[in-house]
Amino acid sequence: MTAAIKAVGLRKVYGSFIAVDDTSFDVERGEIFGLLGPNGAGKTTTISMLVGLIPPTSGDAYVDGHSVKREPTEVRRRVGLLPENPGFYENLTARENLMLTAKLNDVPNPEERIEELIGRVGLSGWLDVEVGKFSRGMKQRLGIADALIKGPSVLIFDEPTAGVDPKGAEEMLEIISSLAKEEKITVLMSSHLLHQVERICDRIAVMNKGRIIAEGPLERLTGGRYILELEVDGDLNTIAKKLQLLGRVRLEGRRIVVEAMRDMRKDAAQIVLEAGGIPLGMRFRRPSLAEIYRSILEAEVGT
Amino acid sequence: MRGSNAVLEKELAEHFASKRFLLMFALILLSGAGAAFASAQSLTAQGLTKFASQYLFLVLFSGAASSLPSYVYFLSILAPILGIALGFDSINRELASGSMVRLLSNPIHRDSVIVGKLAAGLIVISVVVGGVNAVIVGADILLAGYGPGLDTALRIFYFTVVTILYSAVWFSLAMFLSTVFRRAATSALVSLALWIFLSFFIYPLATGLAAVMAPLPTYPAPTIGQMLANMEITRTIARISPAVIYGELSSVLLNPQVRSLAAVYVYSPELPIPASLTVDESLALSLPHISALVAAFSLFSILAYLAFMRMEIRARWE
Repeated sequence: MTAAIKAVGLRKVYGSFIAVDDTSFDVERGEIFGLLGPNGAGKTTTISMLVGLIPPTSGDAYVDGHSVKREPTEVRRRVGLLPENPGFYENLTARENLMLTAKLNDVPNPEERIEELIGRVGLSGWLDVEVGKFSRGMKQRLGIADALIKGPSVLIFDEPTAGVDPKGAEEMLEIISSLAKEEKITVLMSSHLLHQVERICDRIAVMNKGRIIAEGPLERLTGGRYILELEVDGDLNTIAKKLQLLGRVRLEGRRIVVEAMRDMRKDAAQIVLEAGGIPLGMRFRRPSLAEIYRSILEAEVGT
Repeated sequence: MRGSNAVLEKELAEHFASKRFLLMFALILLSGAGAAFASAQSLTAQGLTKFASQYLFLVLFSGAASSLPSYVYFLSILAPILGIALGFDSINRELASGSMVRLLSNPIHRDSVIVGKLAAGLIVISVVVGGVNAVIVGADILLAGYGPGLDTALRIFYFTVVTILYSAVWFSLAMFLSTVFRRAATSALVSLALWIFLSFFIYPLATGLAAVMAPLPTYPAPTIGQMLANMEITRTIARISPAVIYGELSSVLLNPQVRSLAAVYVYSPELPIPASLTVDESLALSLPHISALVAAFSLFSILAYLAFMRMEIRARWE
């Protein structure tokens, strides 16, 4: 079986500005793929190319084997897009908005399909209300229903939780992961909110300045790195300086955080004692995505 | 096309629910009704009945008899504003709100969006202008107690079609500007500025240019040749403006006594017999002007189409 989404050397250039540079990745069927990166990294441009909205300068991408360059209409038949701003017509009702999408996609029995999907995203009572009266979270959920109308095999979300309150974001993430798990819909979502990506994504690509700088399953990105948080009584600065033998060290309030490529608990304790400090507490863990993200970006700046 | 039908339906739903549609409809209807009453009153005051002239209904309809601005004058102002109101934010508002991305992420070709929008604008303009004109004719019949003859009815019909076309020219221009400018406020202001210039400043400009290109000497008195040359240049420059074209068209179509749109030498032996033209003759006289309006509409529509097709539309609009 071919990959649900396959990007091969995607590149988009605006004049002298390279928005996306030689980006390749595969997304398997039923997978939730996270595209992570700071603002301006090229996530939205990549997504726009995957939906066939803008043609790539060079390279190509395939959705279910259909080229976005040569068959953009076929691609758009299979991809449901939820842009950061769902862009509903505010003076039309939810039903009228969804009906338009149904017509644009030649959906059979549109009324039934709309009723079913609107229940699914929990907006049953709101079908005949003008979208202008919806909260941002409700619009996002309606956006999911809108993207699902055509019965897509791939769903693409651009910053799905941006500007939504925590409860709304929670609901969004739940809907997204249930779509992937229960209906085997492939999901690609872009975000700069790490903890959310961390929670639902099977695989992650980190983008910066138009390039993918790291890619893989969560475990692999977090693999081989260890974090040690130390609470110490004594001269923090001296101790921190000595600990630099082991790896990267930073001070977080009263805590010293050591990041290293190996298990260094014993050595750290020894160094603390030798420096005249008293270890009060020690927490040893794998790094969070935020820390990986930061260290990847820092490494990138360094080169 | 499937896509353009869906877009057309959505555009109509949006237009008919919009406040600016209601406002424009009310404005045109009120100005028409006001002109009809004033016109009927002044005709009665002058003691003119349907026996006075077979064209009296035209006078009543156009509102030319009263001292108030005529209905035709109101239309010449409100029809362009209607077109601009429908078109000025047609594309750029959808880009700003993100709905364009939602439309285009569906399996339709991009041209169906702009085709649907153009068609919807034409329909709305036809509904407003055609509807109001029909109401005014009805009101005129009630006020005067008699209806138009066939010739008069046809004239009013052609005039209505021409007014729709004139409004459509401004609609297509505004639509083009809404693809060129990102901000709706900019496209609105540029549309209105162009309209004001072409409606109110084109004549001073044309006479000014003509005075330079074909000056009329004060002494000795200008020859007929010089006067004709000057007039011809003034007229040619002024006719760049669709407003001038529309003005000439409405006078030909609504006044059977207008027998030529060129300069006529009063003592010329070739002067046509001073009789009224039939509706077919008036129509024949106005065909070049009608073609000019059709050409302007086509030009701006094509420009809007091209600009829209070449536009870079991303999933987020910053």
